[in-house]
Amino acid sequence: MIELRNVSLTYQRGPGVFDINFKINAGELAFLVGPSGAGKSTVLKLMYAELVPQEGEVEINGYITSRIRRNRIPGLRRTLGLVFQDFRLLPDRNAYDNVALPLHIMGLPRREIRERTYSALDDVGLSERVHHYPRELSGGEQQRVAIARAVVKNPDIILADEPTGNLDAATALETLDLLTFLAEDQGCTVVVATHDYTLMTKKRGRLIEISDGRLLD
Amino acid sequence: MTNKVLFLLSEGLRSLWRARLPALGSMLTITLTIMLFGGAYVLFGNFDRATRRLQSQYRIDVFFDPLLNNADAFGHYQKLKDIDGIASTEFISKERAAAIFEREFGEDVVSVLGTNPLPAGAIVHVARGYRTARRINRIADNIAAISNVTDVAYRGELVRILERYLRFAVYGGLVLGLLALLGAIFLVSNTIRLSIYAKRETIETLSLLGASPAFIRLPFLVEGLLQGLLGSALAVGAILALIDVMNYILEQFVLYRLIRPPQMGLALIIFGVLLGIVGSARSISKFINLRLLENR
Repeated sequence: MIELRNVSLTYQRGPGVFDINFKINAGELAFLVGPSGAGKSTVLKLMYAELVPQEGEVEINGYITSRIRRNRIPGLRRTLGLVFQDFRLLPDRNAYDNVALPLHIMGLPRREIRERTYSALDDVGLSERVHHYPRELSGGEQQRVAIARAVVKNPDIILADEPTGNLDAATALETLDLLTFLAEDQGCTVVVATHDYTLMTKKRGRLIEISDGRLLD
Repeated sequence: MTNKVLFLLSEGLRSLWRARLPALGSMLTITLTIMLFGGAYVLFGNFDRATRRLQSQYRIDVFFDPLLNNADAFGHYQKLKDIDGIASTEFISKERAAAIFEREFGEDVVSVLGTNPLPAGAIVHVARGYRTARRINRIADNIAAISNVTDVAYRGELVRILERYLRFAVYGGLVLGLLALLGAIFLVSNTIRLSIYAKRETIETLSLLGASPAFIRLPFLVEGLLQGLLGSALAVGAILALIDVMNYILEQFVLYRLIRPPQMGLALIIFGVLLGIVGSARSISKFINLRLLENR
C-alpha cells in the first residue's frame, strides 16, 4: 500500500509538488501521468525515499519516509523494484550480473541467486542474452534486463519512472505489457510514471494525473 | 553471509583490476615505504647486534704508575670497586704484565732490559647496563681520577662511531619512511578517489537497489587493503632478497652475516595492509557521503 497525505516539497531552484493526496492499494496498477516537469519523478522519488516531504507524509510498505531512520532506507528499498528511463544498468556487468545484483545485496545463497536470476531473465525473454553486456543489447533488451532486475527480488511494489521513454512505440508497448504481466503474476503493486497518454490507454489501470506539481481532479 | 563476503571481496578485486594502472602506482609507493621502514628495521637490528657484540667484549685497561710496587698498586686497585658500572675487575701484577708482553711480542722484557719497567695494572669489565659510549666515558674518567693511575685505555671511539652511524641510519630511514608513508597514504587515497569517481553511477544505483552504506563502502576498503597487501609483500620479498645479496657480498670480506629480525615479514605486511586501509578509508569517508547514499 502506498499513501501520500498532504505531501508538499519545494526545490531550492524552483517548484516541486504541492498538497498531493492519493492512495494506491496493494496489487493495484496505477499510471502517474503528466507532461515533462509536472512532478511525476518527484512523486516517485518521495516514494523510494530519495526525497523526503517538507510537509505531509508518504507511507509505503508500512514505512513513513519522513520519520524513517537513515539505516532503514536500504531495507525499504529492498522491498521495492525500481525501473528507470535510462535503465541504470551497470555497464561493466553482463545481463546475469546486473539482475543478480539485488540478490547479492539481500545476501541470498549462491544457488538461490542463480536460480532466481536465470528464471527472471527467462521471464523477460532474455535467456539467450544472459552473458551479453548492456552495450551489446538494444534499448528494449536493456529495459527488459532492468525489469528482470526489479522483479527478481519479488518486490511488493514496482515503481517505474518513464520506463518506455527511450524506446520506440512498439518496444514501449511490449515493455509495458511485460512489466504489467510480471507485476500481476507476482501480485505486486505497480506505479508507472509516464508522459505518454497514448500508452496507458492500451492498458487497464488507474490514472493519476499531475500537472505543475498538483494533482488534477 | 559467506556469499555476501565473497561477493564483496570479488567486487574489490574487480575494482582493483579496473583501476590497475593507478593501483600499480600506489602499490609501488607502498612497496617503497615498507622497504624504507623495513630497511631501517633490518639496519637497526644488525647494528644493534654488532655494537652489542663489540661492547660485550669491551674492557677498560688501567695502568698504574710504573714506580709503584705490586702491593701499592693493589691498594689503588681496590678503589676501582667503588666505581659504578663495573661488572668485574682483574689485577695485573708487574710480573703478569711481563708475561703478557712476552706472549704478545715474543720477548722477555726482564732479560732484555735487566729490569721490569712494566707497570702493574687492571682489566675492568663494564656492567651490561653501562655499555654505551657516554657511560663508558664516565667510568673511564672516574678511573683516571684515582691517584697513581697513569693511563686508561679503551675503544670508546669505535663504540661512539658505531653508535653515531646506527643512529644516523635509523633516524634517516625513519624520516624517509615517514615522508614515503605520507606519500603512500596520499596515493592510495587518490587511487580510491578515482575509483569512487569512476563508479559514482554504480554507487547511486546500488543505493537505489537497497545496498547498505557498508555494502557500498566495503569493496573500496578491500581495494585499498589489497594494494597494501600486494605492495608490502613485494617489499618484504625485496628486503629478503637484498639481505641475501648483502650476505653474499659480506661473506667475501668479513665474518659477519646480516640477520633477518624476527617476525619482520609479518610485521611489515601488517603495516602495509594498515597503510592501504587508512588510505582508502580516508577517501571513502571523504567522497562517499551519506547524502549520496541516502539522499537526505
